[in-house]
Amino acid sequence: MKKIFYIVYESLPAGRQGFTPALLRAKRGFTIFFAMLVGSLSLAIGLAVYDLTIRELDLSATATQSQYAIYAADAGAECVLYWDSNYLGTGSAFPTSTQSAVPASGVTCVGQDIAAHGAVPTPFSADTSTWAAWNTSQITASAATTTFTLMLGASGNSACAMVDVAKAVISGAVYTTVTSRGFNACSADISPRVERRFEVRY
Amino acid sequence: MTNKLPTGGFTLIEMLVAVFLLTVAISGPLTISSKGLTVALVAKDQTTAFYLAQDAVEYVRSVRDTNTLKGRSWLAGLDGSPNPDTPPDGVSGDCVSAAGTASCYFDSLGNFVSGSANFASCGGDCPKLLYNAPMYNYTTGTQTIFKRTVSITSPSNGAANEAVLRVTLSWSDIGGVTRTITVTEDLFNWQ
Repeated sequence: MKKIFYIVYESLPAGRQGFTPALLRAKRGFTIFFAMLVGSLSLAIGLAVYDLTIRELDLSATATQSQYAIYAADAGAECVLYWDSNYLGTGSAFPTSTQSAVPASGVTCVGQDIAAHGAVPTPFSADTSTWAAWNTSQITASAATTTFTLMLGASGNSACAMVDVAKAVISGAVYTTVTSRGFNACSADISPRVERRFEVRY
Repeated sequence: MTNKLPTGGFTLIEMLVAVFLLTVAISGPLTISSKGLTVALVAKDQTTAFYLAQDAVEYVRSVRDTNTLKGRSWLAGLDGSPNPDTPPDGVSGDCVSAAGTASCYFDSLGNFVSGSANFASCGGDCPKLLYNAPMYNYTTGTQTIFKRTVSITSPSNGAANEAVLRVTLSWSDIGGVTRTITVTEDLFNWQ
């Protein structure tokens, strides 16, 4: 190295020989280099640990939200089970065919009249009193599907259940399938939005 | 001309810069890791809390179903009325009130949490759960950070065959922040 340095030094143009030679300058800065290296390594490890734990928190938050969703789905299913056997005494509020009388109101779950105000509007509004009647348009001479949304709170963050009650007459017997989809947040704009579903057949 | 090499060590400025960089480089990740550990503990508590909430909801459902099967009033016991299987202490309507002011506590192991009652009124402030590995309960074990409040109300229209069940878990996390989760379930007397 000494030899090389000597040559380099010698070859510098006149008038520049008082400056630090280029090769000597290249040997400096190792301290900063090592500091940066150790720093980057520990930063990478720290970020990795942090990322893992943030994901863990996300996971447990999603699991909690999932609880809200599944109980919303359950509330929707229970609502149907009740009104399928207790409407006006012992009748069903849900139509089976075009011959069924479809109630226009008086089917109340969680304080919401799902017959009168059961259709969730687009764009979403949490005020159920402004909602239209439930949807009973899918109706034939031997089958009918009733669709409604049950709000479990008063804001877009509130849980809700979107419920389908499908009834069909097969060989004189009525078969019912209740599909209740529970959401932790009713508005689709909310994140995270978790859906859990119950299906009841009888 | 001279061929003497510069033999000087690091200057003070260089050392200061290096020490500063190392301090930042090490303390930053350490803080992040420590924050990460805190978050992990919060996540663990949150998971425990929602299982405890689920536990209470399922127990109330099982009491309702048992009541129906045995021909009792559907909320017998929960509302402070007599229930031979799961007797309440009968104080302030136990879990049930119209305004949601009543709250109760019970454990799903069927322990007598107060005297010879399975359901006991909280009287405004529910006790903290105890942990006796591997079960949370109210009779034996070490006190935990979790407070579970169960409250049953009727819906806004006062329907008698419907009950809104709220289970609230509150706890103070490792950083001293009070955290709460509330699970709401609607029960119907449909059976």
